Amino acid sequence: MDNPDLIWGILDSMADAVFLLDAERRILALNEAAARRLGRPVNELVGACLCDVCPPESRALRKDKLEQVFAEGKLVHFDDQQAGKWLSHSLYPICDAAGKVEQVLVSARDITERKQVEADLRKLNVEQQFIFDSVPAMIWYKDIHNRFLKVNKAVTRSMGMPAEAIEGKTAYELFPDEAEHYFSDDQEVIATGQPKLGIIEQVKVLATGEKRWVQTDKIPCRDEAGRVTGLLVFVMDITAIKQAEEMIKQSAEEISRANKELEQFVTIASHDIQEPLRVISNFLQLLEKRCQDQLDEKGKDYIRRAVNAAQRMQALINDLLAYSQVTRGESKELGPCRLEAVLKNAVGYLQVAIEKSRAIITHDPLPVIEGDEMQWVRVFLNMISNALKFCDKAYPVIHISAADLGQEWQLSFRDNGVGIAPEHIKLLFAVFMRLHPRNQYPGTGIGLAICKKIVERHGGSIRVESEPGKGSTFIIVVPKRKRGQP
Amino acid sequence: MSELQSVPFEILLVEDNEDDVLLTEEAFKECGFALRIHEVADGDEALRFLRREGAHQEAPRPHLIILDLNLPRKSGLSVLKDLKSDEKLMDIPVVVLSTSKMDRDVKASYQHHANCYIIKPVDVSVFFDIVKQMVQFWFSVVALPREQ
Repeated sequence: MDNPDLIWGILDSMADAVFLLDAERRILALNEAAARRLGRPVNELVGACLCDVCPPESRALRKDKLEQVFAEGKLVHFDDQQAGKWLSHSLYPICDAAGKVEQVLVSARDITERKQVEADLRKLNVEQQFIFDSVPAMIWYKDIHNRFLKVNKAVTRSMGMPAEAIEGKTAYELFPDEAEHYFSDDQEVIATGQPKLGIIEQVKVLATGEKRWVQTDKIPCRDEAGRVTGLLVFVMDITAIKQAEEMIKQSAEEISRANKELEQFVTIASHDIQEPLRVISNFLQLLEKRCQDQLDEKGKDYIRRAVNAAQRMQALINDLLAYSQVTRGESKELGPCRLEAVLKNAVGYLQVAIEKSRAIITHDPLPVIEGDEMQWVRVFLNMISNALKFCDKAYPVIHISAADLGQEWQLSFRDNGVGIAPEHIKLLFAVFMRLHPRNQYPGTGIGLAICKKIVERHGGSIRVESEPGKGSTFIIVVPKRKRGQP
Repeated sequence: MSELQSVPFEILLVEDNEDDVLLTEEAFKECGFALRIHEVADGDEALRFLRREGAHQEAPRPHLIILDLNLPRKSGLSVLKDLKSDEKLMDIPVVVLSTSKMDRDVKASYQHHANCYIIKPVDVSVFFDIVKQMVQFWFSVVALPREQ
């Protein structure tokens, strides 16, 4: 092993630059890498003073490091940057028998790449920490023994302690009362290896003592072997959301109560108004009867108009009541509703009018839908009675058909009546909207408004296709199942 | 007038609305039968009349009771219930005459054994007609139990 040629042969194969210096800083020997580093051939460098051949920027550094190793006789290690490259230097003293440093072995390694990687890593860490701490939710890492490993800023704020006071401590040390309770969820995650997400609970904030609602997600961390070594816990404050939910619930309750009160009011009011109206109507008629001989044509006419008005008022109130009661129908349970039976029912009510007008009513097979049967009878009644009423032909012809649209049924009521002008169509379904003078076609104008309300309560829609003189087709689309149910 | 009618028919009208009472009286006048109308304005008084209590000790037993549902304090339905559970009174036919069209009122009345239910029509002449028909029905078509 004393063969210097062999030794230097080995050193020549290394990537690190190596050279041997004497006490005068003269290069006694060097390897290929060192020669390359210094930019000159080996034979030119042997015997030269190190300070003369080194790049000017690093001369100062080397000088005092060299001083140090020669003086102290101990290994000196330093990094320096030369022309964009990072080099790591080791200065190894070789001492004589007395312990005085005779020579120093200098080796220099290019650590540029390492330095770059370190810089990138630092940058990444900074970024990560930034995200970690910027997230308003609390994030922490725990091990399987309920110990906090890393916490973000939100946690330190919430606990009122710096990270150093939390990291490394167990939950038992930080909040003994609740530690076990929270740990039970942790244990589940550790045992099953499955994340537990969306845990909604009420917790006490350590810093202020107040209670807040939070949503917690616990996710297991695994090592390379797949074993669970800890947990990532994510906690979001949902107190505001909970409060909003509570407010919505209260509002909904209030609205429901207000609606009920309104309904009751309408029912009572209409009843109380009907009674004196009846008296007016009845006694006017009695008056006419009794005083027939004493009244002239004008007198009789006046009475007739008054009675008429009173009766119209009664009809209006009845219709308003019916309209307001459609809402109540919603709370009634919806059941299977056979539309063929509904049609039969409606036709039954209109028997007299149908016979009188000699109407022909035909229909396709009608489906069973989910709905309030009484309300659908009302719809059919209205559709048919309108068709009967608004007819200027020899006799009304009405056809009712049903088409399957997949998720919905489309019911069509086609008549041969007077039709509706396009500019009137959009007004058609408004409450109390009448398109004709009262003496031409009677009615309060609420029928279609009621139909629309009923259809919409069932989640459906109603429209009309019509041309004046060419009859009308009323089209009702209604879902097969009430919205929101399978 | 029916040949068989030797005494006037006694009718008890239980109705609290004065105007309706007046209207019904007018309607009865047009019936062409000899009728004696007794009027009470609430359910308790109706029962006192029928049981001949208090001021009504000399009250005759009516052949027909016309009952409104909408009465103060004691409801018409409650009166009906009492009537039809009283052995001595249950055989007097009761006609419920009401402005209510509601199914539940109609059904409840029949369930409590009302003999029939008539919805007061809005039109006066129709009302008069109905009252005439009703009186004709009960006093010349059907057989009534004789009082023992």
